[in-house]
Order: sequence, then C-alpha cells, then structure tokens
Amino acid sequence: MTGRMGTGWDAVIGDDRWRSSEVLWVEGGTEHSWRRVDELAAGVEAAVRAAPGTVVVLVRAASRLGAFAGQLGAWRAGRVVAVDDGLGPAELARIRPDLVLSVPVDGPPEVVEVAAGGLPADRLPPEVVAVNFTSGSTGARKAVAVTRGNLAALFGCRGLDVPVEGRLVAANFASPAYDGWWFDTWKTAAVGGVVVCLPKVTDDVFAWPELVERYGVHRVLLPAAVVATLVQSLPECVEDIPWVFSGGERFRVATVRQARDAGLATRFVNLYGPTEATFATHGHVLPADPTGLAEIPIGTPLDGCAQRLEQRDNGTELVVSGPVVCLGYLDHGRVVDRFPTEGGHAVYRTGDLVRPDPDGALVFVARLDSQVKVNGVRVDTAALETEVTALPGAADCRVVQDGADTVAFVRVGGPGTSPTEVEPVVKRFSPAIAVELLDGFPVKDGGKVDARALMELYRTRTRTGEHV
Amino acid sequence: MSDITTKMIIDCVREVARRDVSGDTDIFTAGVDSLAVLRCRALLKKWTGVKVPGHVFFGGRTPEGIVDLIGADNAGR
Repeated sequence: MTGRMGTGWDAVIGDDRWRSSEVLWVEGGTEHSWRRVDELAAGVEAAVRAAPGTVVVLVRAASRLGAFAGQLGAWRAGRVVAVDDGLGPAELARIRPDLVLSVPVDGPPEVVEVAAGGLPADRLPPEVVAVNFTSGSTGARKAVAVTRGNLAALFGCRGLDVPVEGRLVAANFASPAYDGWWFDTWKTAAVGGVVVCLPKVTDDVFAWPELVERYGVHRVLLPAAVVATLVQSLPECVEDIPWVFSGGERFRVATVRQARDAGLATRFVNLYGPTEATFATHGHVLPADPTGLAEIPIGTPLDGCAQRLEQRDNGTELVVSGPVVCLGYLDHGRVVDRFPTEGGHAVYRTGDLVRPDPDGALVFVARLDSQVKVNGVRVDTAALETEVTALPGAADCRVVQDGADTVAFVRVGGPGTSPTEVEPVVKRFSPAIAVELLDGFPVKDGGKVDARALMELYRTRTRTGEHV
Repeated sequence: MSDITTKMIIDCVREVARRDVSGDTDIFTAGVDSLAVLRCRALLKKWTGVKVPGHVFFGGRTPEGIVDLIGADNAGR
C-alpha cells in the first residue's frame, strides 16, 4: 500500500487495493487483509444481485467487519445500504428495506428477508448510497439520504487528516449505524489505512492500551463524555494516541486541563457537524497548551463545506452548504424532504446559534430552539446552562423539561461544591426550575447525555426523598 | 482467586457515584451508568490491580452479584 490512492467513490470501492494481502482490519484479536474483506464483500454482492429489483439493503452483523463488508458488497451491487443497530418499526418505515441480509465473517451471507416489492426500483435518486440516522432525543430518528458525493467529499477532506509516516492507523469506536463510522472506517480505508476496532468501553476497555501500542494508532474519534471519563479515570487508554477527535457534544475546557494535568501529550480536535452533513463540517485543533483557554470553538469550515451566518431574532444561525451536505430526508422509502440547493450543492440550516471568536473560529452559543416555557415564562436554557457551568465547582449543566417538571441537572466538578452557589442563578431564570446535583450524567451508547435517564433519576430521587 | 469483595464494590460505587448502596442494591437502579461503571473499574484496578471486565457489572447488577460473577470468571480460568 504505497503511493497516493484515489479517494473518489469508484476508486475506493473498486480499485486494486482490495487485492492486497496487507492488513486492513483488526477486530477481536484477528487481523483481516484487504483481500479477505474483498472476499466477504463478493459474497454480499452476489447475494444482493440474486435479489433483483431491491433498492435498499439492510445489513445485520454481529461484528463490525460484517457491517463494513456488507456495505462494500451492497455498494458494488449498486444498492443503498443501511446497518441495523436495532432500528425500530418507525425507523424501518422511513427506509423501507427490500432486502435484509445477515453478514457473518465465518461463512456466506444469509438472506433474512426479501420484501414483497411494491416500491418501484427508481424510488431513490441513483446517487444515494447510504443512510444516516439522527440521534433525535424524542420520537423516531430521522433518516438522512447520504450520496456517493457526500462520502467522496469526506474521503478527500484534508482538514481531517493527521500527520503520519507511512500508513494511517485509525481506531474505531463508533458503531456502524453512527456517522462517526464513515470517519473511523471508510475514510481510513479510502487512504489505504488500517482500522483497529476498539472493544466497547462497557467491556474490555483495559485492552485499549495494548491495542494502541501494538498497532501504533494515530487517531481515535470519541464522544466528549467518553473522552472526559477516560482522561479522568483511565488516561492510559488514550495517552499513546497522538490525535483524539471528539464530536457530537460540547467539548469542555476542563477535559483538556485534566488531560494536561495527567501528563497526556495527546492533541485534541473538536469536531462539529449535523448528521445531515454526512459527518463533520467544522473542526478546531486545540492548542497543545490549554493555559488561558476559556472556551472551545467548533472551529472553521472543513474542506467540502461552506458556511454562511444568518441573522435571526435571538442570534446568528449557522447555515452550511457544499458537497458534504446530504440530499434530504427519507420517509416511506423515498426522499420526501430534499434540502434546497445553491450552485449545485445542498444547503442545510443547522438550527445552531454561533458567534465568531476573535480568530474567526465559530463558537457554539445555543440551539435556535433552546427556549422553553416554565410556568408560562420563556427561559433560554442555553443561557442558563452557560451561566451555571461558569460557576466555580460546576462542571456542566443540562436543563431537561418533561411534562410539568423542569430540572437543571448540574454535574459538580469535585467534592465540596455546595448547592447554594447554583440555586440563586437557576432561580433567577425561574423559581420553578428544580436543581439536581450529580457527579456524572448518564449517557447513551453513542456517548450523548441521556435526558430521559436524567429525568428518571430525578423522579426516583424525589419519590425516595433523597434530595438535599 | 480474586481479592475483590462486596465491600469494595460498595465503596467504589460510593466514591464514583456518591450513592450509598447495600450488597443487594441494583446499582443501575440507584443511578450508576455505563461511564460510572468505567470509573468503578478503573478504581478497582487502582486498588487491587485486577482488571474487572464490564460484563460482570452489567450482569451482576448488585455488589454481591458482581462479586459472584468475578468469582465465577476466575473459577473458569
């Protein structure tokens, strides 16, 4: 694997690299060559082609390699592919898979289900190749149509490259149904790299340091909450990884400070991007020395993205466009809501309010829709969260509203933080907002804060009279 | 053989999640989440050097259940 490889769509899924006997994939203690992955994909391609008229293929795989090979095979057969990570009926109704394929790595793929047809073969535009599901906190996740142009733009994005000598070695943490998967695995394969699958943090996290050392991992993408926990409790898991990318949640200055205090030389990159823009639209490389760092910007546009700032009543909204912006939303197996285009590229209104910092990097301010009504009074939850987080001893704040309850959950930065500091600030926004101090926020598998679990915790504590 | 006792699990839950639990309390119902489990495991490693796999927490659920599973894991080795 030497020389510069093409990162265009056809080059990545079809060229000579797949005949190589070098290692592409490491998972569960086994190394798999490009050729081995190619063989698995050939089985998938044959199974898909044997089901003519199918448009959307849903891949089920117990291993991450199965999901990856399933994608490759379905793409080579010209199909749209989605990976099933436990999609519910509402999500399945959005994409209407025609073929459900189980892809093991120790045998041929198995057809689980072929839908009885009913939808025309030209129901999706030919450039659509995959689906991103949003993480939506309420209701069914939205399905976003990802095109080959979107993925090719990500493959070729230099702003996400890290300096390496020889082949890139990237760790994989994201599950195949999350957009981080495109970065972890496909962008890595596009540049001829090696993908090292990390065991889930909920299981064999102690195996991380050895894997990182043995394969010389250059980069990893982790949710901000996972970075924070590892830096605090198990810094050895990331200390030998030179580049740690984080996205999906606000990255905290405290995490960078803790990393420095723990002696880590790791560089952090804060990424930003809605699921509707394939993976990431903005990035910011944090300074090696966090002294004086007051806030962490979402940064400047990556190549493949153009930004526009539009004035709204309560701030400045970030609007993104360019080859990384997806086609639109899918429902009932069709594109029902196409994003508008300008100059041949899709445009997406992020709903995020931002402001430029003195260097021109954007700083996330709030969601456009971050206002909630508490007893009839409008409260800007983002402003409340920002004020509380700025208090000494408060590491993070999240306001959750559910039914009659509005609660400001405050993650305390250390022992000895007293609620008296937090209460007056919260009560100034509305006396009806309850305050709940926690040592940590529950998170979902993808690493985002679990608002529903927070509320359950609050209600359990209220019932059991555990409040201070 | 493992040096990890029910009391150690109770202590690490107290330290990490500031929850007072007894030997038969379901720690997840008591508000421990997956990242708190990670911090517990890091703490146990610091205290004893033992790298406890995550599944014993998620399978054991109570301090006693977790210690039982650690024992079963070791017996199988």
